[in-house]
Amino acid sequence: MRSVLLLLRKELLQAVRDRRTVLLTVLFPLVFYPLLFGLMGSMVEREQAQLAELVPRLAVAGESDDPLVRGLVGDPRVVAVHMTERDHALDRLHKGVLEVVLVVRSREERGVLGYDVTLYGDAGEPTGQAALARTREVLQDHFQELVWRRLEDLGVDPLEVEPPFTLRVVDTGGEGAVTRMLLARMLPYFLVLSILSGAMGFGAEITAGEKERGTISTLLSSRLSRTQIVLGKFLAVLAVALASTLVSAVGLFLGIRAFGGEVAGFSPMAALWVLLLLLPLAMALAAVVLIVGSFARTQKEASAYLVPLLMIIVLVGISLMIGAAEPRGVQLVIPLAGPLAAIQRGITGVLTYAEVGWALGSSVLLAGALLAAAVRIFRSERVLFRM
Amino acid sequence: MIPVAVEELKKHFPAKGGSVRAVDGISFTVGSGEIFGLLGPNGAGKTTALRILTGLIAPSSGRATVYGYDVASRPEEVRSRLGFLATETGLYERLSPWETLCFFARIFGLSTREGEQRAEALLRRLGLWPLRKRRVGTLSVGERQKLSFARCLVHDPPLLILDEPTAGLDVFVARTAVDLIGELATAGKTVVLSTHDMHLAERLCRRVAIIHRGKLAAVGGPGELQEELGGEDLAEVFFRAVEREGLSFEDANGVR
Repeated sequence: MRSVLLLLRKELLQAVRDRRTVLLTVLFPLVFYPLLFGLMGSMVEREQAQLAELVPRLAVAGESDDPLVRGLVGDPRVVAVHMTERDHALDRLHKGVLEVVLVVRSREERGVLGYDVTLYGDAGEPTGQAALARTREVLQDHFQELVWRRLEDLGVDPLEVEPPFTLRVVDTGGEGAVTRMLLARMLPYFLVLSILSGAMGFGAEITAGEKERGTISTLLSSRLSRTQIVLGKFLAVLAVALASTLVSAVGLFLGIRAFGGEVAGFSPMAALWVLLLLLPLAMALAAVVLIVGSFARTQKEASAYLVPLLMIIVLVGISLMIGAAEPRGVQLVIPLAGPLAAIQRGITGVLTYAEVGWALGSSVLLAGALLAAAVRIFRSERVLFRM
Repeated sequence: MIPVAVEELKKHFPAKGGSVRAVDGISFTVGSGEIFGLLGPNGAGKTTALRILTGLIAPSSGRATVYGYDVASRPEEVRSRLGFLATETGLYERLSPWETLCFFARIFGLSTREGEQRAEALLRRLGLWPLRKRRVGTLSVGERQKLSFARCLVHDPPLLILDEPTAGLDVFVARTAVDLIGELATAGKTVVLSTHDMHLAERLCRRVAIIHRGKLAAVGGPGELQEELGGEDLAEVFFRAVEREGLSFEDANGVR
């Protein structure tokens, strides 16, 4: 074990002296994440402020002497114009001159009290969405007023009428629930990406890079056995990957704060689950990087072979982030997706001990199998001295 | 105990449509304190033979021992008794010469104190002491070659295996390397080196093995071989030996 630790120390010494490794594992997450989230935060904030002050421009199509039409056109909360032609109004909407078109039809001609109102607007665009919401609020007030007037016409005091029902929504998520949900969605994806970005470059350098530079013969001709060499390198890749992950987590939290969020909802128990589930995952990825690096003839070749793995991780990560896949229970044995989903469930506080067992057990087994494969491959002279 | 004994050693590599015989039944022994040269062109199988001797690769058949230890079954015992210098300098560019030597000393089982003492002695002897804290990546080719020698010697092995120790070096650096190899032999080390440089072999080696296309064409002292086969120098001896064995002069398809 002493020799393994000596090799580990040597590899780590080289890692901290490698600008690229330091840049990718430390500086990038610490600078990029806060910057990314800070920028996103300020952009969202600015947009929200603009939308909050939005005075929707709308056209009201209907009878010009109708009280609702007149009320809307005169309402100071909107910039409303009256148009008789619906199609003309819609044309203006499509051209972006207006945000909303209201088509008001009174039921009076049918001998019935009330209105049928149709709202036209672009809900797929933030301004259109906000304008529609604001118009709906304004309309609500006008409808309320019309109801009151109708009640008064019927000789009823509106203030004495008990509303037919009331609605109250209670958020049971407690303080920080939204942040926790966002964190649960994003954190596993960012963490697993950090593991790989930390392990990829460094792992390729200390395996394929050693072959490329010819230092591998020096190491192989030392007293170290091949198993010791693999273990030393494995621990070094794991250490760099975990350091990269830890720094990324710090960067992510700083980013969330820069975004204006709070991470108070992230419990120590959730942190423990994240760490526990992340370790075998990092071990498995470190072993994969070693296998690929040992097989490749050059660092460039190793990086090329690792790109598909990165793509798989991005795909799995995004599927989990957007909620397209939500494995649970025994499904958590699925490699990669299982532990990541378990981390999500751990953060939101719904992870069960059985699920920890499934996710942890399968990823520990996988990591062990991959490490054994890495040792086997490193022992093969056909692979190690591949021309 | 004989430092190196090789008997009917063979190494085949799989290739398209069959296999390439990189080493094809060679036998020789190397005595204590001897400088023994494996002489042959590029692709003759010299590097493969040396890699087998260092335990980096296993022989397909035959046997090689280093101080009585079989290289295939006891590679760790073998490696603790030898220092190997590959064709490349094989140094870590982000370590300093001091860190390099201390690391390899510890890997070979020396204590921290012993390792530091050996590192200091070697760096001073090779004139690298003032450069001990610089990164290896900033050293010149000659300084790196000296450091590579120091790295081979740090655990004080009785046997040195040097693969093309002067290849790619300029005339000054090559001279330093040659002098150093001579000094090591004088100090009692056994040296097995590979080279395609006939002059180097003539100057340094007490005995040489002429290898071509994986086969052994002749073994003996340069003078003895010259007497036996005729020829003005070792280069001529090489051609005559290859001819005598009926070997083709065609390249060995890149097998080293």
